[in-house]
Amino acid sequence: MKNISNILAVSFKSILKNKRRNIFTMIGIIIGIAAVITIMSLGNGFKKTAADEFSDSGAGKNSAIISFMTSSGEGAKENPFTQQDIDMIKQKNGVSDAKIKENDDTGYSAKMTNAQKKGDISILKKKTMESPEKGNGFDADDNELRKKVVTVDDKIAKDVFNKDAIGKTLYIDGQGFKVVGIANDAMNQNAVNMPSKTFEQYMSGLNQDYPSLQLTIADDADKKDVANKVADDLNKKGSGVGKGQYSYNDTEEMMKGINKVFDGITYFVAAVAGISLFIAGIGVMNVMYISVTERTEEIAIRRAFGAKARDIELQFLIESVVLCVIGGLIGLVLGILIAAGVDAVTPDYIQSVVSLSSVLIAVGVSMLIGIVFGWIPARAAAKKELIDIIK
Amino acid sequence: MIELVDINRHFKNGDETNHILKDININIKEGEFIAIMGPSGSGKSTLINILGFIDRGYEGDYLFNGDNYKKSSDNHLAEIRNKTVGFVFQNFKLIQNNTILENVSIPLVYAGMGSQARKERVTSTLHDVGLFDKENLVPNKLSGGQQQRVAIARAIINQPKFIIADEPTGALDSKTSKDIMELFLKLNKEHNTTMILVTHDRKVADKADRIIHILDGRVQREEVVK
Repeated sequence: MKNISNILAVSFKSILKNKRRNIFTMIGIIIGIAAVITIMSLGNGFKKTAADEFSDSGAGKNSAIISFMTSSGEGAKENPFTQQDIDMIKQKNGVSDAKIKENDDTGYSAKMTNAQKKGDISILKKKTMESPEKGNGFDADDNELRKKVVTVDDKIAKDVFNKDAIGKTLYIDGQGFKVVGIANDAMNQNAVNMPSKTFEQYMSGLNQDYPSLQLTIADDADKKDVANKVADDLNKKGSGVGKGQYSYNDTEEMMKGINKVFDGITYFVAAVAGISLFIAGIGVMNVMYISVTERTEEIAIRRAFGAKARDIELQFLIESVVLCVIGGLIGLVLGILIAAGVDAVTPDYIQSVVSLSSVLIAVGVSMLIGIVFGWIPARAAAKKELIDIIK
Repeated sequence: MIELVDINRHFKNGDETNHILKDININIKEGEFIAIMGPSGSGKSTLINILGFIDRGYEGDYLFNGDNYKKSSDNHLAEIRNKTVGFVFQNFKLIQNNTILENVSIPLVYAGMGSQARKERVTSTLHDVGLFDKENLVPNKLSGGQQQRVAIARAIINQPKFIIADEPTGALDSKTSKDIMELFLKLNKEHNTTMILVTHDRKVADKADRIIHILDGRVQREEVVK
């Protein structure tokens, strides 16, 4: 063990000597590890999104969400959860509380009343909008001062202001707001961002496009049961009957389902990567055999000058492990980059999270391949009888 | 120091068995300079493989300082080779990918010496064989004579009890051969290192204390050089 650093140095040198051959050998390992790391990073990211979503939507243990969808699929024009409905629901067995849930990502529908063009818009409440695509946006001070400012998206800018929107006035339900920037929103069309306090001051009468009701369920009641009953009742007596459908979305169940799908994909990719890694391992074994054969004279010289069989075995084993671990690390970096690339080009809810376990898997698996597939050629090298090879 | 008693060596070749060495009896004392001469195929290489603890498949007794290593394990023999014997080969047998420093270090690496101590020892040994500032070159940047000096440095670096040189001048021109022989003589005189030198060349053999002639696997005669 004293000369392990020396053996490591010799390994690196002999790998560098045959760069091209070794890079080709490493490709299988790189691809296999990169695939596993990519899917793991995205899987972790998705699970994180799902978990965030849970706590965010309040769909924790004791709460359930009742949503309302209009028959046409468009946003609801009138609030389907009136105070009367809510009072009725609160009376029900197993419900300890009920309130309208606001969702930051969903807009409030309103009418745009400019002279040039009239139409539906979707207002999003934001505390600040510091860096829109164009213009200055609004900051926390504007919010505190309840300034009547908004940002509009490209579509409104084009339709209403002929692309020259900044500084103009947008009329919403008859009230004028100064356009201070252009910002698009992936989830909503005709999106208008407005400081939240301004919104509360001037627009408090509006409903969200896709409103939902958050129930708090008593500890001893069955959540699914109670929520389904509430949805049934609302479908009979709720104020939105005839315009649409109330339903209970078991988000938790849904998330679990998606997680399962993701796990399935992960296992599938892992299996494919496993095959790739196995074939790569065979490649490593092949290259190590060639290396052992090419360096028979070196083995003879080392043994003649006092190397024991296990010194030779260790030398070739370390060489194969070093080769594989280099491949594994390249694969790790590549996998992280691919996952980050996917993260960048897809919507926000797909994100990449690199965990320590990814790194450990990359290094561990590649090391294991190096040991398993390097061991046989290394044994072959160590078993050569000095008398047969010292010619 | 070295005592060979009735050494016989057979090699199996398919169904045939070839009798290569026949009843070899040799004595070599410490500090002697021995030359072994004989035509190709006479069994010289087989003999030095036995002397150098490479071959254990012989019959008879090989006593080194009174000890018999025939039954020793492969690992133990590696250790014995490391401490007792230095090899010099006709074709130098340097590892081409490694620098001179690394090549000469090999016996020290397996003796477990630290890298700093190795470096100092290699530099001073290279000076002893007349090489300066060549540590970081690779072997094929050197001339044949210089490469053989590197090989000699590698053979003597662990201060072995004896050196086996298998036709060390066979691949060199006569001028370089003479230099290398002088180096061997110097090592023999100054460090009292026992030399066993295999050669075809009578002029080379004449520098030795004693010449052992081998023919068809037998010691034909021993000749003391005056």
